[in-house]
Amino acid sequence: MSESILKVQNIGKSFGGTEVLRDVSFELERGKFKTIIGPNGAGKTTLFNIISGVMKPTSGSVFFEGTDITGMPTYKLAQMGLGRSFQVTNIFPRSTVIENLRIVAQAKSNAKYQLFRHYTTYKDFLDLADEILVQVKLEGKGDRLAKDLTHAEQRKLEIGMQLALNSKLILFDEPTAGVSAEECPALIEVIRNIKRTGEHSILLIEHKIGMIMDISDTIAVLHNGVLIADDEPEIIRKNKAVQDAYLGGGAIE
Amino acid sequence: MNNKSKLLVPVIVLIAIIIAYPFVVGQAGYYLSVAMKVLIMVIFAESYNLLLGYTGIVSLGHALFFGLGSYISAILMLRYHWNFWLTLIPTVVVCVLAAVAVGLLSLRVKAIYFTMLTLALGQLLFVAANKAYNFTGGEDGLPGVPGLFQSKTASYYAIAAITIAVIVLLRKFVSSPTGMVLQAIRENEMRTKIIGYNVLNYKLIVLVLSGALAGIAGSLYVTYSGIVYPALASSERTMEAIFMCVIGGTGNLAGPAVGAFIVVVASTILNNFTNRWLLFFGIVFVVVIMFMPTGITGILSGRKKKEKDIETELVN
Ligand SMILES: Nc1ncnc2c1ncn2[C@@H]1O[C@H](COP(=O)(O)OP(=O)(O)O)[C@@H](O)[C@H]1O
Ligand SMILES: [Mg+2]
Repeated sequence: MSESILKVQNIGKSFGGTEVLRDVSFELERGKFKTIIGPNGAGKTTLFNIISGVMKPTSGSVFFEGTDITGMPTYKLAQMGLGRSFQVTNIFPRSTVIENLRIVAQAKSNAKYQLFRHYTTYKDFLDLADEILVQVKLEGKGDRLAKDLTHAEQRKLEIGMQLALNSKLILFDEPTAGVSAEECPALIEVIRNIKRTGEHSILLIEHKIGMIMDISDTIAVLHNGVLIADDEPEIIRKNKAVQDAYLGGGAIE
Repeated sequence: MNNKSKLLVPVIVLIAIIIAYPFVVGQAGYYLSVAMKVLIMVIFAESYNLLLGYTGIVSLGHALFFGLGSYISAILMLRYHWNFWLTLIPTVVVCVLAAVAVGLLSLRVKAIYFTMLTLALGQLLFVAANKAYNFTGGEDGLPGVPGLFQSKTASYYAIAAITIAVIVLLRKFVSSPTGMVLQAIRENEMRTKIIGYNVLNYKLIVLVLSGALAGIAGSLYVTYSGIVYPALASSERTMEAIFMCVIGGTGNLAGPAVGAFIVVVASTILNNFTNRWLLFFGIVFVVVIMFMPTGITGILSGRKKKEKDIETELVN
């Protein structure tokens, strides 16, 4: 068995008196693709917030490549190779699309504290940003301000920023959120391509399970803050508890 | 590149005006003084712009650094007969230390704490300057601070050279990798953290640079005014910095310079009629915020952009 890149151990989270996550545990093997499904309010985003250091868990621990990262600041996690995207578009609105990608590419380099050399003299970052622009199908949009993109384009930019960060582990929080049915396949295709490189482990939250059945190595089901199943897609499809709790609930799109 | 060549002509014209100015106004000390004040306040406004315009953090205690520079230079020159240029060293050192202290105390927590702490610390120096009579001359201050040079014209040129050097330095800084991160923080601080930047470090860097420049502006100011007094460290100073940035426009280097020019010239003229000119600026400030939130430079560049949009529309 290969070493797991991510290990989530007995995570619990309460807001005030409300318990949102209870005793959630799972592992992700290196190079694998796991999708987390579950109805709205199940606690998926909260789980991502905890893994990516945005929130501290009430109980439990998170291990990244064997290191306990519970409560570590987000910037350190990013430096270690853990990146995440957001369900609600979270970009640099008044920067250009290229700058949104370039600033990410610069984050892991030694140049990031350079004070008096012009940023464009670091051509590698700009070149990478240009490449990613093509990969996420935003060619020709590089000079636009990010806020002027359509919603679907902004979702592509979010994914592109993950490519620029080049993390070992990428967490995608509903990359197709708010995107029309026609535009979804293009987004999923970009993620499929990321998987194809074989260089990243991926954790994906997605509602549209029809589209992710075939790219997922495993699917985990979160229901009312509890992980009720975590298995291969075919087994999940047949799982009675999952069908009752989620698939049968009419929540599938 | 394109941007550079577009700027070349206005920059040459501006520098020519600065060089020619003393010949035009003659030895008339009054006009030379006003120009010196403008140039010094350009440095002060630009230093505040680094925080407000480039990083998006609101300090209400910027006068602290200006006041530190003023008092350090004035006291060292008057009481210990230091050469002015040497006093810049303790000014910069003390301002850097103060910036680091303020930053470490307040930047870890919510932005509002930083704003409140800067307000409190800014007042602290103002109060101390008032109370430590034996050392600071109290309310009356310490008069008799010598000018930079015997000749006012020479002083003017020295200050102009420093201001230009500061602008050149800032131009490099704001478009460096670090400068770009500051603008990312302004745009979306949480996102900047999540892509791997230690935001606290960047805020400390900008606070240190901003504080040091404001201190240098304060030091230069006492050689212009010839006297140091508590008002130099009062919150009115901070208000002035905010006025200059907001009226001129923030987030670019031209805005605060334009703002400093307008505020200094207008307050000089208004001073002949009323000493309530700050109130006047308060009203202007409200009008600017309500009707032209991008300031004067924002309006000018915005209009250019609109023309361009129309052009591209026509081409399409
Ligand atoms: N910061 C917060 N404070 C209080 N309650 C929250 C917070 N974030 C999420 N919640 C609550 O936690 C529950 C799970 O939310 P979330 O993790 O966003 O679910 P999902 O992503 O699965 O739709 C919801 O009931 C939500 O209202
Ligand atoms: Mg969610």
